[in-house]
Amino acid sequence: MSFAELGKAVRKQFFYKFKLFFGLFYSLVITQAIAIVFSFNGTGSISSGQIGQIHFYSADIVLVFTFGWAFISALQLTTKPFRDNEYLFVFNRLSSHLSNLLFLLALSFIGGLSAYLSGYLLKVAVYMFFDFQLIGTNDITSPAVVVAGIITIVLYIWMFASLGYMVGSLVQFQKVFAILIPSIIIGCLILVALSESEAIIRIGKFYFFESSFLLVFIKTTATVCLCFLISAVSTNHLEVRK
Amino acid sequence: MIVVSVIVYLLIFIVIFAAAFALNKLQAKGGFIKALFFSYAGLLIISSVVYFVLPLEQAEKAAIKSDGPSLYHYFETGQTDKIDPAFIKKQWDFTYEGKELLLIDNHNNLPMTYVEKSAEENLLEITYYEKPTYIDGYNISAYTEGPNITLSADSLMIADYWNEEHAIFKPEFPFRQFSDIRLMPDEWGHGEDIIHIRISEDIQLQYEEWQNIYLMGE
Repeated sequence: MSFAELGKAVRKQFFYKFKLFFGLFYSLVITQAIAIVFSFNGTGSISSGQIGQIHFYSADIVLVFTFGWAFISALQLTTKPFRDNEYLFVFNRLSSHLSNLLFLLALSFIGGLSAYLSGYLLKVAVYMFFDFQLIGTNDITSPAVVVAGIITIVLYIWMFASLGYMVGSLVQFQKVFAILIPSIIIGCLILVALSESEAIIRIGKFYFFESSFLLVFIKTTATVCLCFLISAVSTNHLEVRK
Repeated sequence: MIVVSVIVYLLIFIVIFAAAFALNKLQAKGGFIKALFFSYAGLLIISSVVYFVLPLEQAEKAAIKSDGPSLYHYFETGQTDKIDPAFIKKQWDFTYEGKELLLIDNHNNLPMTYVEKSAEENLLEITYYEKPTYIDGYNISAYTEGPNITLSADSLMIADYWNEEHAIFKPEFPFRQFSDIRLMPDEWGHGEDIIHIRISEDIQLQYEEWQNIYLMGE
């Protein structure tokens, strides 16, 4: 297959998948709606007798839920019912992976943009439904920070989607991963909750506390590439339709 | 007000949903999903526009007024006349002719309250002093009202203390990581507040032991 043919195949599969898997946006809307409801309580609060209680509002919870949505959606792409749907259009394993990579990027873009805008929905809802004295703090004034922030949201979602895709591919490769990976994830969550693991906290800081946009870009895209490489290698032995 | 807002919000969503649903004509299998998704997208866009026209009062960063001794120092040493009048937030002047006055509050929570007896007759003068609380350089006290004090029959009600609720909108964490903004404040300059009651010496003030009330000069 020539490079041009590969490009054509990837494009065709991408648009086909976009139509076929549009249902994923249903779960996106539901996920973000639930996250917005959870956010009504505020992302944080402080109180004292003199000033009463101050609630801090941001769409952080929506972002975290969207990460989860991206992970699960990507995982679903590797399951048999989804793979069977793309059967007619798959030219080879590489074109399938590349179209999935682009499809997940498109999902991340839509998920990221809606998560970002949901922050405004949350804040307008707080203004309308809650009897709070609102204090504007004019926090972000630089357009560069806004653009960098939106791109970073998309990159983070893409990274989580790639992780989900990798996990799905590994499960295809060896069924034992279906037990092993959830066990590792649950174990890690327990360790984080018990504040027992410095390593996991360092991984979190490595990605989410980085203040250089360039480094965030490099770290997330490198992780995405690594995940897709592992996915490609792990599914290399499989037939196009197993 | 809240009910009206909810109804308006729901109406907006229903109108967009109906429009999107009609556009899709429900022909395609995913018509419902498309209608739902585009309704949600429409709601997000409308909310974004609405947010920028909200009458949000923007706080200004201010220099922290922490100079000078604490308010408590002035009261403990009986030098209330030396307190900067800028720290007076509210004042009440009542004429009370009774001999007994019951002090009550509606949240079992009062700031430090100093009572000063005076030879003046029928005097009931109350001053609420406040040194501002700053959060990340913003004077939050500028947005608080302080307690409401009312006199009725033989009781003095100090209400609405610790009862105010405020909201501060923060950007999401991917924006915060590229700026020096934190979700929770790094700097929290705790202020002080004191209620000063000047009362005729022939009026007996009644209060509970757990209320933060101190008699000056005793």
